[in-house]
Amino acid sequence: MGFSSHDDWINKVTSGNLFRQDWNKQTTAVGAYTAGRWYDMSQTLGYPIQNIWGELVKYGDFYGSATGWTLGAGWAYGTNNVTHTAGGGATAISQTIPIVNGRTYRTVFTSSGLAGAGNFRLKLGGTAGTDRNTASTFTESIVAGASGLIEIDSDDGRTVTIDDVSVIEPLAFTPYNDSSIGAMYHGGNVTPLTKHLQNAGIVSATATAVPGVWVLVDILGCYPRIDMNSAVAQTLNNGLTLPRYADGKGVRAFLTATTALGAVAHNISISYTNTIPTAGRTMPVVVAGTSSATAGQIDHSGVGANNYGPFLPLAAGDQGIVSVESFTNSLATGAGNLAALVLCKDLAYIPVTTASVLTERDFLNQLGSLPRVYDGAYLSWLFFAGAALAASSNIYGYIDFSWG
Amino acid sequence: MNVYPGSILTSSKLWYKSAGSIWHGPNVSPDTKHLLTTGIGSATSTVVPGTGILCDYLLFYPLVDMDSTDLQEFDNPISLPRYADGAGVKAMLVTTSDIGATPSILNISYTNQAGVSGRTLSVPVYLCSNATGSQIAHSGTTDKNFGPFLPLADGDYGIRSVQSLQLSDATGGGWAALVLVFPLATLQINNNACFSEKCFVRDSPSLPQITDEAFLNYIFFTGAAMASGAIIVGYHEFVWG
Repeated sequence: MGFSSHDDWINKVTSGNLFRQDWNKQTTAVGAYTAGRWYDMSQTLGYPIQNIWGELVKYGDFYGSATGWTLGAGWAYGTNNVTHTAGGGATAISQTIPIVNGRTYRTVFTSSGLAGAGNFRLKLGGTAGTDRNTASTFTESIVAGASGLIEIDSDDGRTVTIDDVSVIEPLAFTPYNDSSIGAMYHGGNVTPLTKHLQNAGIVSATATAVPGVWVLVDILGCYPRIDMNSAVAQTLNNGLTLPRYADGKGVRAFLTATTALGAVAHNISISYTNTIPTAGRTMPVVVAGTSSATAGQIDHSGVGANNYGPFLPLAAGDQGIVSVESFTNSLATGAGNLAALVLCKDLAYIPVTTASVLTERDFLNQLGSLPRVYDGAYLSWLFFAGAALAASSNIYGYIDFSWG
Repeated sequence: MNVYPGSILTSSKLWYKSAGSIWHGPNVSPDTKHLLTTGIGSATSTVVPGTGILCDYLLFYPLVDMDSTDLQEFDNPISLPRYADGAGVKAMLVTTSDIGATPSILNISYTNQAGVSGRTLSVPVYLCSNATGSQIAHSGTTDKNFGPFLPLADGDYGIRSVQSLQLSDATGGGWAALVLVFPLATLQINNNACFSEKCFVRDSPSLPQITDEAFLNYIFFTGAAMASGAIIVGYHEFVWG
């Protein structure tokens, strides 16, 4: 489909086939960005909300409300948490999440404010985890059942406050779509029509926000909780596959730190399947990560020797990635250091040159390309810092989408 | 001119005949009207650089007490006059007088575009201390300022109505209005005394639709310390068919 002519475009757009999305992001408060590095802006606050790679639970922190959760009798929202009050019944809070029957997930939740007697437990897909009756943070691997629910249920006699609920499948490809956490709504599905980027604009008042380059990507999925404190090859699970660009053409990978990394120089390597598909492909060069990379930084980007960014270089002749089978870090960077390996398709590049001056792109007349936005696309930004972008910097932008 | 007079915390409609709307012609239905070209300029040097966002202002909740931590509950006798399902509708808290110096965090409870109530903002949103009148109170350059629109909950892409607002701290004074708008077009002003112009067929092809009875006006992002009394002039061309 698309547009057969300028007149056809006018006809479609004036018939309502246009959606404008306004977004805003704020960089981390932890510290300034470093010039020459690429950053994964999905991990920043704003709208769309912050993404935690691989997280399947929405509003596990109950910020502001119990939005997204169904509260059984006896449960009530508190202040950024929920509480079961003894005598309210043996009931649960629940949420439908995209878990798969038979797969193993890392679950976490925190309990506090205990009173009364009895147990509480996390259930995943109907499979109960360990009974608990103390105030603590509990981490447990659970094989999901078939219900598609995460639940925390409590015995009738127990008063308990619950917070910080998380479900992630470590090292397993977790597909992303426009209903995933932190997705940017872009107009909904339009098939059999095709949707395209029409215009985009970005502005920031922060002097150090410029110069820079913003790259709009369609995030296809990630391998979460890569252990950066391990120098052993980590096998990645590919039970789930690319949700879009299934042949892998144009699909690239980047490694984003999800925690700060230790002050350890390290190299990274992957073994992947290309678009043929041929497995066992490796990068053609040594790729260095960044010592002391900050959370949100694309680890292998920067101005140091063997830094490449934003994407990992592919083997000669390869056109993209279908899946990644393993990841290896040359040196452990520190306890608790984690990263996510993300697969994406780049859609558009927008350089920003001047503070407080809106940079705009017209993808029809100016840079005629009308990049396609597939149904279900999870749109996010990568940012190349041309300067030491200050902490807590605000960026505003808009995107127009059209379809025909 | 105070464009936000009304009953306290009660939804009040804005339309093309409300004071303050940029006139765009009469209703054209069953045709559709679209923004064709726009130009903006100012002789005041501190107006630039700046970014204007043309919005259809839909309704507002006036007399939000910026010196109260009470849950301020809104009354909704008037629903969205346009974009009735709320898809694409954004919210902003606009000061109608100077507010106090005490930092405060804002949250709202709203109904989203799917009609689901009880939705809240996704992050702590900090207000600007000492925000002056007509400022979008949560926009700025400090930590947890977000602007121009409030960041919605995950999965939400519009607001159908707002049920309540609450501040974490009393700012020390002042009033505001929570305003629901539908953003239409964006225009950058780079040079004073020189019009910035845009054609919405050739420059930023989008031909934004101007719904019958739309209340049009701008929100403005100041890239410099815009002087008081600055005059901004502009023009629009609308086309329908």
